[in-house]
Amino acid sequence: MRPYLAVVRDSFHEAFVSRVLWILLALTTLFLVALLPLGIIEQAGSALRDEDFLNRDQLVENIVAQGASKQPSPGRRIWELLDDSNKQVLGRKPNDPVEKRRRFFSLVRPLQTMLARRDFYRESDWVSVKLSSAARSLHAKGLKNLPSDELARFNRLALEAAYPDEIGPIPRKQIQLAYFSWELGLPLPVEPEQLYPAMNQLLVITLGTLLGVAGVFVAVLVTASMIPQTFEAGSADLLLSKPIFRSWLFLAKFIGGCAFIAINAAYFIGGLWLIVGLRFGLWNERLLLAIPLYLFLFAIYYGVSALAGIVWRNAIVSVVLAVVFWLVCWTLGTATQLVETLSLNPRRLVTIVPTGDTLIAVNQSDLFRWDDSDGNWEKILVARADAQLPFMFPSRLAGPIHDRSGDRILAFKTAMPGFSPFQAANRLLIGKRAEDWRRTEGVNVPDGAFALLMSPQGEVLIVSPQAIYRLEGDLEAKQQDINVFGLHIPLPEKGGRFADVGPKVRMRPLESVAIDPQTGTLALFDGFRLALFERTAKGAYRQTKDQSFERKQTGEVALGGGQVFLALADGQIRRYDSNLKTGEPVASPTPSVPGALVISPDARYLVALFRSARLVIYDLGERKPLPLPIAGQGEISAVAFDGRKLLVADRLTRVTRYDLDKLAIERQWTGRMPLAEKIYRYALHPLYTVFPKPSDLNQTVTYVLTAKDAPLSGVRFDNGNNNTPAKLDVWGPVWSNLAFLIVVLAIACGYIYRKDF
Amino acid sequence: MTESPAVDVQNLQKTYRDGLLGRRNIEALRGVTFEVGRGEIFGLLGPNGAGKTTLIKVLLGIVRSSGGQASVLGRPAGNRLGRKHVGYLPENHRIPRHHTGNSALAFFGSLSDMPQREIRRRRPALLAAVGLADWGNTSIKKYSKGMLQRLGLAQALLHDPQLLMLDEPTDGVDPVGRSEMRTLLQELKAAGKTIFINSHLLQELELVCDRVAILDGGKLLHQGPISELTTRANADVQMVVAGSESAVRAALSPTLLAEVRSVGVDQFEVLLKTNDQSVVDETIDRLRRHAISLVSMSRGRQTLEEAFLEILERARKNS
Repeated sequence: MRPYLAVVRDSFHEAFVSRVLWILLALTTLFLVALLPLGIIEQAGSALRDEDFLNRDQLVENIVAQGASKQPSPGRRIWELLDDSNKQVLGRKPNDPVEKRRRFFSLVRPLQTMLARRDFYRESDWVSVKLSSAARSLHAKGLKNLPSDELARFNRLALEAAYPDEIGPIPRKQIQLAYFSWELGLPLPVEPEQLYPAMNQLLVITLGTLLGVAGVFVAVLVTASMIPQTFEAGSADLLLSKPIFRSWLFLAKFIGGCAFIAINAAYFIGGLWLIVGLRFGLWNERLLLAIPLYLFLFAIYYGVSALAGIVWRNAIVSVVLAVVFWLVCWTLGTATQLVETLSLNPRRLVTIVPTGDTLIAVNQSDLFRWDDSDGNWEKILVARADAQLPFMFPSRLAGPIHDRSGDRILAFKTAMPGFSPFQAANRLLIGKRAEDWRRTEGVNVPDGAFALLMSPQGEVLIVSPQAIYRLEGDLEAKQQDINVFGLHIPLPEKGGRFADVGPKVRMRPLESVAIDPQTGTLALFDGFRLALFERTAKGAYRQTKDQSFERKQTGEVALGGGQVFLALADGQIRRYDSNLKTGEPVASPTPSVPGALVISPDARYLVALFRSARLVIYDLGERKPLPLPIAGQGEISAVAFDGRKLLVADRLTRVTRYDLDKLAIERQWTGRMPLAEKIYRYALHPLYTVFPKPSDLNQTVTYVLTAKDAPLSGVRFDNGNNNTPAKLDVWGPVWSNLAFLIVVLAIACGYIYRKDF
Repeated sequence: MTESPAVDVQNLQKTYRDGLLGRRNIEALRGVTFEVGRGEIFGLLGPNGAGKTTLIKVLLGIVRSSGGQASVLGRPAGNRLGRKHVGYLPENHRIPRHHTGNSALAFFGSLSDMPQREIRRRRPALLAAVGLADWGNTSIKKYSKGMLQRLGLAQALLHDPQLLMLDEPTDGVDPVGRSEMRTLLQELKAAGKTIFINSHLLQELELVCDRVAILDGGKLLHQGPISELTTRANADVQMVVAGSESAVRAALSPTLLAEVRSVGVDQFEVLLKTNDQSVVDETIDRLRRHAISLVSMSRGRQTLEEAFLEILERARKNS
């Protein structure tokens, strides 16, 4: 091995003597030094964040009402501190969602400024308000003496005490991003640990851009000459006359080139790791795993460059071919992703609704029924004039559910979370079998509606983060409205309506909602809190149990048979009894983020569909996974129960029905393949599979850094949650790229073995 | 058991493929056969494109032969273990520019599987032997062409090879350096090493080689000792005689092809253009009969260059 180690060592020697290495190291040092002053300052929690507002309209109304009153109150104090222009906006009562939004922000923005004022809290205005113990202890120190961050916290605590139904509690601490002592942006009302996922994402982006693109390109430029120079006339003769194997010489030189880049990558990532650890307290040792990953990414391009270097023995040709290879990979990857995103994913079935003898399924935006005579999916719920505004916020379809009593399908469209908390007046969409599933519109859906559910008693329920609603009266009684520039503004309701039948829910934007198919008990999960709402004899709902989590969790909830199941991002499925006491966890062999959790009507089976698009069925009676081989694992996008039958959607539009008693497939519905899908399946995808996917290594880096599956294109699950099932194979790119690298190096070794120098 | 020759080449052939899809064949070696004995200095001569470098590369396994057989130190040509005992100085070699003299020797010594300790032990003496004693720690970027050539020779000698293959070793080396190199080669020969030199500089080869081979157009035209090549049977006979001019001219047969030139008082140089020894004997008898003294007599020698050109010309005429 001595000769080959000498070649590797010589590459290090060459690197250290080279000016390029020192220039790269100097640039890296400059970048890291520039980054060093960036850090976070922990402050007492005082921020007002978007998700803290539990009921925006109510908050505005309360403050406007208190402002108009002569009685001292917190609202009156706030009103006093507002300027006239904001008061003017707040004085209006708009129905238009855009105006509502403007009105809300004309209160919130000044309110955020007021929290810094030492005269915001006036004891006489807060007489009727009971301050929390934290606020009282701050008050006891004397407001004049409090440092600015503690004063802001006190004001924030006083505000939430005054409006407990409208404003959620603030964490004890918040963090402020700073560069040296300059504060950057607004403080974030989170603990530093809560910032880490976002920081990890930022690191992924930084590494992906600086190392994955620019770094690799520079590295290929710098190292492109190493192999051609080794095998050029005069140099090759000298080396090949020594008692060494040619192929090993080439491989040693290749490893030497990689070593050059390893020094740079290790310095950059190691430095970043130290800075992030020292300045942000994020000691994520997984970041160091990015060193071999980026080295591997470089090795793929360098492999191509080295092969070209051997054949043509010209550094320029090596660089050009490496760039051409990158372009081909990029084009193929982009084309595949575009076809998947624009053509395939919108067609992927995300909800299955069994309706007796008709199978109904939903993709990203439309409903379909299976047409036996045509052997294909037929679009339903199509209105004659299905007009939409050209620039709508992205929306998702809640439901659909099957209303057996009227043999009809019900659904509604709602804004995607994060886009607009205010929605245009939304109507319930109805499709009746008797009318060949033609779309009609029904009553208005309450603001902020999240999930549409059917209770075992046959009632149609809507759940929002603020309330539980039940449909009363005729759901088809279309409310009158006036049309202003395409926006439907409803007139006072007549006929059917969704009536509030529960207590104040007071939850943050919901993550998941489930209903017990036997009792009608509701389980709501908002990431911080899991709450159970029991149905009373009169059909109203009352909150029975509540479980809080210290930090925000991503998860899915299901309930049945007196048990609550909560699948969290760690892949574990927790089991609770009806009092939310923790029980034995359900065995979870797939450590992946859950996408959907569905329980069978008889509460015998629990199905977890993970973001890896894989599905596991648990036999809750036997307390172990059901040994039923499921077709299309890795491409499953929806799951539903039809009695003791399990319906599974995979490969975009294929639905398979399994008989859980016989543990066998009962029937399969496979829709026809359109041309785009044929091109994708028989040309693009095989090419993409065979070709290396260096850019896909970013997924692996994301996974390595965050230990989470990164979501891909937008598809949601049938329980109303907007989580995305990601057909994600984290280590797949590593294996496919490794195979490619081995093939390239083998070709190069074969060529060099046969070559006359 | 007799020791195998240092180099044994039998009917060696090499055809390069060139052009689009390799459809054009270039015959670089056309059935070359020769041997190099152990301990001798062997020179390979030939014009540009004769196939000399190809032959060396085939012997070292850098180029594959198309036919025939060749062995080096008793092992098939190109054998990796055989190369362990061969030192090679290529023509226009290129030592990576990031090295110093010392680090270059350390690198090439490691490639020959030498331990670092051994390299460090041999390095100073070797650098001194090639005239680079004070240049070991200097970057080779500062080396002249001749110095690079000396360093190339040092790397070829570092692992104490049994066979040294030198392709144009004195290229770029000054006359003093050439002289030192010749001395070194003689010392190596004395130490029992075999040296295979490939060079255009025929005068240099003439001074050091025991045997030479002449290659042209991939064919071996001649091989043998230097003396055999330069001492030719058909060369002129040169005599210096003393006597009167009239007697000398009278003694020489009018039919004999001879040139007479005065070289002193009653001394003449006579050049007999014949390779027939009986004519030479008869001419001596006739000179003696005319009382002319024979001061000296010798058969004329060719330089290696003259012999080389003559052989080349004859071969080209024949072909």
